[in-house]
Amino acid sequence: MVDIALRNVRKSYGKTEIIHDVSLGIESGEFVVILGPSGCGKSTLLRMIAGLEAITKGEIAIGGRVVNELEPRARGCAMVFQNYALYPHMTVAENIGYALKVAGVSQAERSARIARVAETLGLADYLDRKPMALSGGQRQRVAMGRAMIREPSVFLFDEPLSNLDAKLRVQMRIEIRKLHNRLATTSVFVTHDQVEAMTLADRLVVMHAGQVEQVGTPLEVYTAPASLFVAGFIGSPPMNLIACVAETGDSVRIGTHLIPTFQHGQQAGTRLVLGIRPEDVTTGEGDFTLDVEFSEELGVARHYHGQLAGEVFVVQVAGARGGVPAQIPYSLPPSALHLFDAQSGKRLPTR
Amino acid sequence: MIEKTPLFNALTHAILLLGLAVAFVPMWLVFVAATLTLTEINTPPISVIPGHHLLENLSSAWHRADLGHKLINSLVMSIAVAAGKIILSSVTAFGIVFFRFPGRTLVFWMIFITLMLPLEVRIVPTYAVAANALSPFQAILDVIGLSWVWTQFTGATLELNWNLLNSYTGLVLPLVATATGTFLYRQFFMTIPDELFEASRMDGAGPLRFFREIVLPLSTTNAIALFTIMFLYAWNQYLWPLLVVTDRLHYGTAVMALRMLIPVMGDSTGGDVPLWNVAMAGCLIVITPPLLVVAALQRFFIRGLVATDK
Repeated sequence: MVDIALRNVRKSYGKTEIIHDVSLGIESGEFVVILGPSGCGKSTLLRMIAGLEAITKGEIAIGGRVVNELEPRARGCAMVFQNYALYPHMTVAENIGYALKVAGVSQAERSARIARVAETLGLADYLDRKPMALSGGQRQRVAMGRAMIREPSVFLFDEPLSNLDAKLRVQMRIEIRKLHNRLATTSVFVTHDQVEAMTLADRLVVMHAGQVEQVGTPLEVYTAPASLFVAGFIGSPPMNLIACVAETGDSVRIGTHLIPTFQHGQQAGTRLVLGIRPEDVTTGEGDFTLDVEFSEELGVARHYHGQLAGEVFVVQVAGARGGVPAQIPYSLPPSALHLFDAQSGKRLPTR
Repeated sequence: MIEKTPLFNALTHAILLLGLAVAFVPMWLVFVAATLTLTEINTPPISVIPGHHLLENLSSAWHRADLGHKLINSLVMSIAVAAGKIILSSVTAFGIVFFRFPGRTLVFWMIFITLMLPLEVRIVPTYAVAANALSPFQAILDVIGLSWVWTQFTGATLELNWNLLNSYTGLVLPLVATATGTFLYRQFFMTIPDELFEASRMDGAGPLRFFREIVLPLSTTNAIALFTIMFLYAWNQYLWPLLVVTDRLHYGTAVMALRMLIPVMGDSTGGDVPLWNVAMAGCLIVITPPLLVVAALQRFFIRGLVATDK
């Protein structure tokens, strides 16, 4: 059980800096998911923890020990790669046991530990097969086994589920979470899939353009996004974001509509962005009317797409049945509103 | 071709058969000639039906050209060239592909340009080096003045000398020092995904271990393909062995020995009637080992050249 500390970590390739001053504390036994769009630097950050990328500035400490200069094997991390990176010429057993072989563990002990790991992962019947003869999910498990066998102090996952089909992905997600519940090894999981991130994480780190946008539990990040980027990135469909202007006290104005909010404390005339999640919009009655452009059927609910003040606006109606109405009256409940500073993109605190 | 009509099939087969005939007829004529007596072979027209004297011709060729000894020489040389080639080129390609070091591109192009200088082009300097493998170093020492310093201190002149003529080393080394295999390996190594190297690093393996336990086993088919090519290449060498070997009794190769079976006017063997039947029987013997190598390895050979084992 170790914790990981990233202190003012930077990474540049030549003159281009792609990780800008990231500081992050990961507690012992925690499952942290780093979420962000592709190219935000999340994989690079993970590889820096692993020791596969050099750290340009700052330091990374694992279990209180600064590891900047340590080789990957000395850091006590095990990694699961996106495309598994299994050794194609070795059997499943050899793949899983390779780290032990390199470490000089005796054949007998190796076999025993391989058998134990294979048992937990349901691979016992496949130990003599080559990776070529395995399905995607099985390969994924072998990759996990290879990481597990070293009994590492840290698990690193680099988008390990993105090569699986949707059903298997859900299944493996659950298995990874179960495994974590059992082993409670400190884990860092990188993904661009927000469902994966929300469901797996103890704590979620949202990254954007080489910076950390927000750190918090999945629910915190969902209910109180710290910035416009996070608000627009998390949630499917994402939060409705409409430009507005602050009025004195506790309301904002969109066009001619005056909308009561919470006490935002902004000067009248300040440019703000109002956000509301599609499921938080009260439908059926209200001052606003949505001209439905089209609808998306999810079964459990329906998304109606329209416009508000010239911007895309989506409302969710749970359990909607029957035909698609041409117009839907709705209102914006003040308690469900989020306000962001249009200039900095930062969230305004709800008082 | 996706088209599959009977007419089109017949046409393609006809072309294939023609190609087969072009390749096969000369071989057949060699075989037929090796089965005839001297009189039969010199009677026109050329016979295409085999005679009954194959065994005695084979035996005659074997003894006249001392093929037993020569075949062993050829085998030693060819296997050494092929093996040396695989070792040299896998290591160099590993260095070029998996390491980032200053001058990497330069080294790569230096190796590349040796492709444009086959043995035949650089045969005179290569011979000079083979006559004294240390002469380049001697030249360097002379130029920078160390030889003079040596003479001042010891009173003796510095003469480095390592003669490779009339030795297996001399036969083998110049044939090993070419770039072909390096390229075959480089192309293959570049298809090995980076993650494999990273995974082995995470597993704690160093570069040498990665090379030995992951890269080499993955490139087995590649090695076999290269072995086949280089074995044939070395087996068929004629000019270089002819130059570097003066002691033909001990170091002559089988291909050189074939020449002994064809007497020409003015040669030391005298202007005898050429024993074409014996010469052709000799050919049959000499092509057998490479034929066996190709037959045994061609399965891997094709796989090594067209597909990767991943």
